[in-house]
Amino acid sequence: MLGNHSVIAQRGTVQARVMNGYTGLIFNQIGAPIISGNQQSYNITIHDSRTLVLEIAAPARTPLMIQIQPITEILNHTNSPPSSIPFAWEAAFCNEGLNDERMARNQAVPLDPNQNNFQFEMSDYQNLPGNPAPVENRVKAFLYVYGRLGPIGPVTPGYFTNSMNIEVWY
Amino acid sequence: MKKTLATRILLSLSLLTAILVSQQLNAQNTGVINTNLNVGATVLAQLKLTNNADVQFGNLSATTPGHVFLSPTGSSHTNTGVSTSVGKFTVEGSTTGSVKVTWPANIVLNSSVGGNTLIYNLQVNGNGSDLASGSTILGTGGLGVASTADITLVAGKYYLYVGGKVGGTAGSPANLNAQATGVYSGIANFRAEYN
Repeated sequence: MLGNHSVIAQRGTVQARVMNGYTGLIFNQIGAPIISGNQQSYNITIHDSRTLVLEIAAPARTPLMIQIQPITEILNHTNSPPSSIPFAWEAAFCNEGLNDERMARNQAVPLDPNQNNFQFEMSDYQNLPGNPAPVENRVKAFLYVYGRLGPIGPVTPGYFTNSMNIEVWY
Repeated sequence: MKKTLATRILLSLSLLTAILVSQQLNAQNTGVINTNLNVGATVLAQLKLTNNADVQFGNLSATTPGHVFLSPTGSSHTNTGVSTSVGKFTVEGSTTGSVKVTWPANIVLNSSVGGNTLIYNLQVNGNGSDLASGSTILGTGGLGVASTADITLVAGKYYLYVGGKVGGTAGSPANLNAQATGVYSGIANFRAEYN
């Protein structure tokens, strides 16, 4: 289980959480500088610590819809017009009745990036060794969001950013 | 038995009420949880390392009373020739980029005559301003030992000044003692990369 969560929202019987201190899908990494014009791409994979982990806790059989407002680029607004770098989001979802995040991550199924809406029904808890028991009858599902940045063209150096909106409907 | 109009209306109203109640129950436990995911990256300017000047010790005596030292600060050389040159590189990149610079702690200089060699122990100084006299020694271990340093670009630039000593062995400079005459030269490769 993730040990360090902050609750985004709790309405009725459904909770959604991300890890405390999570600042986003930030591609900066020591030893792998992103350099203007190098034409390289940079990946954050599902197993990367920078991946967004959205934990959803709800009673079994609760129908859910996840809606991802996609972005296709990140921008440096210090220029006019802003310069941009291509960004391709990727996501995976685990709804296998696993309350342990590490177990869930290994079972997560990639989502089709050509779609924006995904419908699920919360699964029943799986009574497996190492799978923590449900709390208040809520079983967990996990959404992982990661992606690929680049290729990096001859853009003006600086900080590039954009925001993706993720909604969980129930 | 035929239903009267009043009964039909009553049934219809009851059905409508039932539908409304049903919809309210369905709506009681629905909602949306919303989160924004920030995606970001810092893009750095291309890093450039430019060789502005080579190292020249000048004409040396084959035997010297002390170490032959070319100071990277540009002054206080000892036992060098009259015409000398401190080596210089300019590192250019992002405004306040953190850069790792590496160089050989020492190299072998080869004579233009025969197979004679001379050891050159490098000393590399650095400065955020283009001023050799204000530069300070880089790396750990100093002359002939240091071979890497982390530097921070100032307004996108940083300057390296290269001097050192010839004579002795790698890491242990010594006076020249009946050194075979000739023109000695070699190449020291410098490398710069973002941290």
